[in-house]
Amino acid sequence: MTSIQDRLADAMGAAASTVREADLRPLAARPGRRQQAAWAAPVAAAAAVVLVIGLVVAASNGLFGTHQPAGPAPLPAAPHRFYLATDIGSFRTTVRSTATGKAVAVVPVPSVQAAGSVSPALATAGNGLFYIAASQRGVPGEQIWRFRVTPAGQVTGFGRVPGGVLRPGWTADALAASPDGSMLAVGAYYQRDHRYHGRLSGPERSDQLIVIHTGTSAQSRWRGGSLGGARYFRVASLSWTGDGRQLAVLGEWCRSAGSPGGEMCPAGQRQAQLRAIEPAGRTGGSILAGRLLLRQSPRIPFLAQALISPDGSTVTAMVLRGRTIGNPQISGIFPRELSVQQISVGTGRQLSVLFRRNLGDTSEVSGPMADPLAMTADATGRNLILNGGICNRGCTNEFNGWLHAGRLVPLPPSGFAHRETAETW
Amino acid sequence: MDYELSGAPGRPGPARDRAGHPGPGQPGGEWQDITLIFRQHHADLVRLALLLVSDRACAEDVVQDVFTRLCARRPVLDQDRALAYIRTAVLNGCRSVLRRRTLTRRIVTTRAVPWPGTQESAEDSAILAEDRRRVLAALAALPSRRREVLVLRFYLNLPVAEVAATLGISQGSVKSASARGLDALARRLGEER
Repeated sequence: MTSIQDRLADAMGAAASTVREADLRPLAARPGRRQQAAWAAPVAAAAAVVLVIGLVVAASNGLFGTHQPAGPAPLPAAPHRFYLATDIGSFRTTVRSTATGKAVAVVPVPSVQAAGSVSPALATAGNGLFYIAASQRGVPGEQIWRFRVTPAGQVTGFGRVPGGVLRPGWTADALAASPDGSMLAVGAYYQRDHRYHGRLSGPERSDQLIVIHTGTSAQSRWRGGSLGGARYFRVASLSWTGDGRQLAVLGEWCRSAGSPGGEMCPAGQRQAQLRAIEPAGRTGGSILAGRLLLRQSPRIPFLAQALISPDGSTVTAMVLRGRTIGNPQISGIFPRELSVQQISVGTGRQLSVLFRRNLGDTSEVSGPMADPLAMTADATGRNLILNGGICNRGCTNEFNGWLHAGRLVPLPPSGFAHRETAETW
Repeated sequence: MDYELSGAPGRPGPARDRAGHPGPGQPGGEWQDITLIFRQHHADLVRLALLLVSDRACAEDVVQDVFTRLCARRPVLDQDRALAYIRTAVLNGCRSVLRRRTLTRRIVTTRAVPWPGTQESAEDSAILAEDRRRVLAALAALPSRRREVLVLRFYLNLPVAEVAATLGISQGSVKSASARGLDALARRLGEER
């Protein structure tokens, strides 16, 4: 046997050994069909026809007191005709109609590898300009690309971002473009050769924030540092103020890291802060040196996502509270009550609650997920896309949609079990 | 409600190898008894499904579905082929699951670690667990045919001919899928074969 066969057999044996007979569910039967009389089907069909005819006649006579057209209630008008979605399961990024969810164009990421080629990182600078991170066959280091989406939904001008190559081994996981496109912020993690990641104590165990200055092709590098002894850092979300001066970085710090970048932080260890840095003209530094905008606290027990408004006065935060649920081995653990709040930067007070959702009991969560909760805003900061991939058995509690008057207007892909998606508009 | 065949879990099944081949002294005629197959191979089939779908709950669901359908239909199974038949049904069930949810190959190979750690302890455990997770993640990222071949060949230790019969492909296809799968794993894991 070769070494790879040995390792494969060993790994499969170890994984299989986690299944113990005593723990398996007994076989549960589906409800059986009742025995039906031979005449039941034709009689039922005839009755159904009669019923349908009756309903049509009744409706045409206005017996139900309504003159509304048939069909589902109309959806609210979407703020944008199209949105972009990267489906990490299929490694494709598509332009989709917000109204119908149908893909109208595919973003032509060139010559990508078959797998692991498209990052879950998409960004918009507004005015139809978008950015995506993808690796190219034979080229070390992931590349940031930019392109435009026309008002008709077509993709044009696909090309490389100057200075947009990441160091080999680093992969984009979050992306945000300044409104004029002069700076791109990339939250990146190290994925190459982490066979013995458990022993590394270097910078590879934490995310880095890279700011690409597209005018000069220069890159500045920002690190999370150590927060109260928690030295494993990852970037949870990125957003710019409208003037492009401040970059709001939601960072997570953890004392121990179950995987690269400090995800799956054990209960009680996770710390999160939203800090504003001003990258223009800087060569890098510590994110903790930036201005503190919001921090996880008893009032905000779990700060999952946070975006700064274009004027810098408010933060839109995805906050979790309540009983902790989830599977620490797989998806991480999460308090079950989700809310999207607007919080004043100046006072720290909650201004409004835009959305609430109970994530349900995910204590039997399954499936690989990296960033199971995501929130994206358009250039105005007012229109949000929410995406939740925490998945219980059967994955009935996932959600994906845009926020309208406290409700989520669904967006495809729906039923995206175990897939990480990146979306923007 | 539970089927009757779940009612006697305490009785240990006869010795068998990982592939489910009957151990010494086990009469082959018992294969046709679905109840017996369930008792003897339920866990093994869940383990097989787990390696293919990377998800314990889904693996259990797949195997449950297969046996539920078998109980409902009561097909006449050739005693020598019953387990192979059920194993193929499990493979098909796994494919359906994967087709439905289109697993996140990238995430499996990078951030999330869908596999639980082993029961070993100390530093070796951390390193070994991490290495195993990487291998399993790389396995999960393979195209389904290659993954199935590797699981059947190197987990169940089935001979090429039996893998071919289970998957309904030629022996040459099994060999090439196996070689390519191992090559892909070696590349992903940064190892020369």
